[in-house]
Amino acid sequence: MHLHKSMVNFTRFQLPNGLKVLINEDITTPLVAINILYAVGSRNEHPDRTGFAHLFEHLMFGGSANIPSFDEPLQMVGGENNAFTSNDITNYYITLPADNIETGLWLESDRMLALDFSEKSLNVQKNVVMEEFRQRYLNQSYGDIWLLLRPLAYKVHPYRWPTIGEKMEHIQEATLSDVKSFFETHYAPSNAIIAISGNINASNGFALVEKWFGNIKSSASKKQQIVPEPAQTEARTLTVTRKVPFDAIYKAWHIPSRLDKGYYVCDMITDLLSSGKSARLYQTLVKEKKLFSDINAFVSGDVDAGILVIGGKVMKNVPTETANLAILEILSNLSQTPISARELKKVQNRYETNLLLSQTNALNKAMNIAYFEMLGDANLLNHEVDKYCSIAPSDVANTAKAIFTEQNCSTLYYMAENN
Amino acid sequence: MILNRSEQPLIKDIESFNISKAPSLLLPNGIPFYYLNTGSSEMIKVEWMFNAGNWHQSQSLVAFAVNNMLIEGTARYSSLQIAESIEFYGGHLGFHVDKDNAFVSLMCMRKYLPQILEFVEDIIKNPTFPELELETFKNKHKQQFQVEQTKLKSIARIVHTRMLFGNEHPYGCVVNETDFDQLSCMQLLGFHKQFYHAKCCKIIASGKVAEAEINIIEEHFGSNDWSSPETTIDMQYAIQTETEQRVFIEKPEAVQSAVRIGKILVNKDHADYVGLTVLNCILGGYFGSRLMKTIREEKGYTYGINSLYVTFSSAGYITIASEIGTSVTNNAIDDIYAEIELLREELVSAEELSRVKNYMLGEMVRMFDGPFAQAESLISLLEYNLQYKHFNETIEKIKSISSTNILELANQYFEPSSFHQVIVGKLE
Repeated sequence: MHLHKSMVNFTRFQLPNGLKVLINEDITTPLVAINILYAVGSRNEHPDRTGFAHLFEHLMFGGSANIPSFDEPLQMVGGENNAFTSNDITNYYITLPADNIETGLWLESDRMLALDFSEKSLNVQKNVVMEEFRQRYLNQSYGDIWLLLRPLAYKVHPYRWPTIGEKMEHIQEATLSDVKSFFETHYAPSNAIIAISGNINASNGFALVEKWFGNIKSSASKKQQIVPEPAQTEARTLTVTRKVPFDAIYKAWHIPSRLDKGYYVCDMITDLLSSGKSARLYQTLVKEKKLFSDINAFVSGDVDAGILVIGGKVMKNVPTETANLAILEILSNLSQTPISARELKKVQNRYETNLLLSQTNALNKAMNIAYFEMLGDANLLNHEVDKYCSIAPSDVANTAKAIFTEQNCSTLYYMAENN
Repeated sequence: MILNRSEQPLIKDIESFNISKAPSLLLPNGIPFYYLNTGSSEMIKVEWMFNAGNWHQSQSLVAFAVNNMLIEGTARYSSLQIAESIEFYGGHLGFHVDKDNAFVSLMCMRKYLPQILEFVEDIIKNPTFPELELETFKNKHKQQFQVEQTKLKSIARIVHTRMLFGNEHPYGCVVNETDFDQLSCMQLLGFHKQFYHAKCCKIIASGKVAEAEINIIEEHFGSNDWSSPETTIDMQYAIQTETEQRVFIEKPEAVQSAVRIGKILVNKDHADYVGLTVLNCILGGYFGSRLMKTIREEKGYTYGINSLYVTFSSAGYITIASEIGTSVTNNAIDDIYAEIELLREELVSAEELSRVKNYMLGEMVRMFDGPFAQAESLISLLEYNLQYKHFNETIEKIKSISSTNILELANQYFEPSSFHQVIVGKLE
């Protein structure tokens, strides 16, 4: 493969206060994307205050020490921004016309310096987040699947609750002093990575970052010890009944952590199973046997050991046990018969395509650079496809055999009330 | 140097920016072919646009089924062979139908374009809509439709467009579960013959589109063997807005109500269109909008609320959409109408108007960020038979609009009693 042509190049710099800065120059776009990753997510929450990292993300838009509104000055220069929280990170991003990059850095630096903590902003955002909880998880059919599947698959690790929080009461109970101490612990420059991609000269970019972030005080953030999830030793099953039109099945298996070779094999397995219309689950279970109306496989993509999930909605009048056995049959096939060279090449071509595609967008590049730097080295990004391409058919069979065991599996039967 | 953190760095106005025009040529069979060779990456995107949207169907779901089933088999290849071959070369094939048009889009590495086009040509020209595949398609989509029908926001959206356009109009027509059972292979073949041929087609390529790519696209899609009897009659429908202005659909178990409030407005070729997009943006078109500020950021009634200005070939409408906690639904609706009233009573401040203008100009810059975005922008012109100068005119209009213009537009178009509202959920 000629991957040398499609590298994402960047230069790296670290400020004395610990902030890591990475810049990718791309003169083909009129924009710049600024991505700031804080290495804090729902994994860092106290079990009695779940959902806090995400609630905090909302508060980051409520104004900072010297700037009453985050959004308005950005809109004034044609910029747009958003953020997301995952189990592992909280990620903030801006795209704006390149000439106005300084406004973006000014805004981001001020909220890293200090937030304008207010009781009113906290109360409003608690309500907003509770409405988000209702909208995404409670007010639509199948919305609570993750609220059920996570605590089934994890018993110890904080991945057992979703980023929105285990329950709404936890959000309701958050206090302003929780907010302040969370900020002090996790929003230090040394816990952040800033990645910039777009129409910017790297040395100008560094100078501007230094200007706005250089005098933010470093604070010693304590590295939190997180107890790993112990190996699962017996099959787990949960059956719930809901007012939904059709039964659904979700199955989760524990897989290795993000940088382990086994992770890449598991991710490839999910592509063999469910990427595209020629993939195994779709061809066999939707088209041939007509057991599911849709079915997907994916890995959770977490930094620590995560899960591989297969889930879908069962066709009317098909018993869930029949549907479950049909999934297991496909998985056992995967561990017994080596995949063909052609099928392997198919998924590898897919990775190459996706890589090229991800490089056509400045924001995408900035996000990826920051994420892989958080994992240890932004340059890992440029070796992702190599890792997938080094996987042999025997790796797939061996990993499938090791992962898809009964004792490693949690199954959620999500039953329609009137069936 | 001491930083002045309370003052925004110097703002550089978006004066103008480079709008790359796509060169175009006519293929031998008359298909307009546009190409944007701007990519620095090795990717290419090819889009086929057909006048084959819902507007043209005489029975519900036919346009959708034809478009989505192109890939389910031809005389030469089975459904699996097609999917496997395209996916083997890393190609992503997408299908999309809207009210007026239907699209097939291909994204792939340019080195594999020749291999993939073999199959794309066959599925676009010679689909057979096999009986067994149609059966699977119906059952699968019917079930997905039933799931969709349980979502309150989906019900609100569907009922709202029906209220605005009427159930007999293609923009308002409601799909029923039994419509899936009515689909037949004959019908799909007939619709395909009538609407998927050179005279109804435009092709747009973007990314790495050099000589070789242009030639191969012409080879597959430029020939004269691909036409149809000229029987295409342009259907006409009258908009029949329902007289009932408020609909409430009760869902006793809801924890939020899905709300839609809106009305029919002019579409893109009208002189007031750009001004109305600015007005809509102020009301609910961006994160800093008045609706977001009042209903989310001040009161915390919702996770999100926005006002969308949707346009089709022959009409447009504005729709304010939100999901709101049931205990505050009534308060939020009162606030929405109050915000509409306010736009009719008070001039927008210079500061707010300038922020909205700059935000919208920034959006325009994003519309031309890279080859694929540029192709999407071009398609948004082709859908309305507009020329590239439309973009420059839009920019000029946005820049020149005044607070007085906004007030006048609000008074002309935003009479609160002319809005139609639907609530699906619970009122406490």
